[in-house]
Amino acid sequence: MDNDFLYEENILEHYRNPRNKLNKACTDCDCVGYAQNVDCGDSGELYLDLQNGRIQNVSWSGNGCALSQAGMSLMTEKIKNEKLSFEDLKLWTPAIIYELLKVKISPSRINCALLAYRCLTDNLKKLK
Amino acid sequence: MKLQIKNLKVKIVDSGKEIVENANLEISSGEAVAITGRNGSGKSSLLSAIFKHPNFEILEGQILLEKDEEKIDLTNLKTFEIARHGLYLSLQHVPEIEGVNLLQFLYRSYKNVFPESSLGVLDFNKEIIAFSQAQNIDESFLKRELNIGFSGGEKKQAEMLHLFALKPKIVFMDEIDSGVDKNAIEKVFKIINDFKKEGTAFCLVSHREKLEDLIKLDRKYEMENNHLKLC
Repeated sequence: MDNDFLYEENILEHYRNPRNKLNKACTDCDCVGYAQNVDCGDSGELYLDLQNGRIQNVSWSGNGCALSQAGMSLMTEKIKNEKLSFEDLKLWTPAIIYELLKVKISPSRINCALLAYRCLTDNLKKLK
Repeated sequence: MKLQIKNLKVKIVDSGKEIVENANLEISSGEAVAITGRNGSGKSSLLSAIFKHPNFEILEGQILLEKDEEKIDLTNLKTFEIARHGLYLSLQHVPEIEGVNLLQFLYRSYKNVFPESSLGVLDFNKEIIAFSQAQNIDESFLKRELNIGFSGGEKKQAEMLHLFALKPKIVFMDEIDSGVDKNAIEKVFKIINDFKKEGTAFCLVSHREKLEDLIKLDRKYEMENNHLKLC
């Protein structure tokens, strides 16, 4: 409760200035993961380039609410900054995204918050 | 960096009254100058006009900034453009805005002045808290609404957080020392002197007789008969 204003501002900042976002769909990346929220229109595509099991490049495109798009930005920033591998990402759970967002997510916003995670799981399915 | 105000003439938009007939002032990096003059002589109006307050209009004259061997004419620039060139105005009566958290306000102001910066709000928060702790400013100010319920001294201390956030090179302060107790004045001027040592220039509007006890002044100007002149 004490720092909610800070985490809300963090989400808004990632929405206004998204990290790793492409202006258009990537057509030459190794793997594309896709997710959308049919109810509200949020959508995202997660692009991964791999080499020997390591993530060489991560980027995304998408549209939607601040929560869904900030989630994409925060998640790709973490993957890039921590130089995570494909094996690292296989161990991820939705808790990682909640930890990145840091704000309390109401039941009606879970799909928005986890759009990025669903993009990632789609990537992982395709890379198996 | 050097700012020159040359033959500035300012009118009040509503009444048409020429509140400043001729203002000349110069200030360079690391300098401190004072502007004195009786109440109602046009000191605050001059500062507001420099920063393009819509209540005032510059009729004649120029505001020139020498920066990185370039001369920039600020006379017709908008307020946010002037801020991006490194100028800052601390108002005599700072606005109180409900519903606007100070940390969020400072971060968004920072991003407006430095739009290319990739500094995130969480790291910005860490830096400004570290500054607050180092300067003995209550960090809980950052969680409060902008100046709501702040005492006079707290408002002036919060202005120091603005200086840290926006890192201006030339600062105009309208009576930073008024309505403030001795402890707060000493804390505020310690911070001002620290910034001055790092090259920030300060133009202080003040009625204080012994301003030199708080800060070493390079020049004094006086507003008299609507003219700003070097003393």
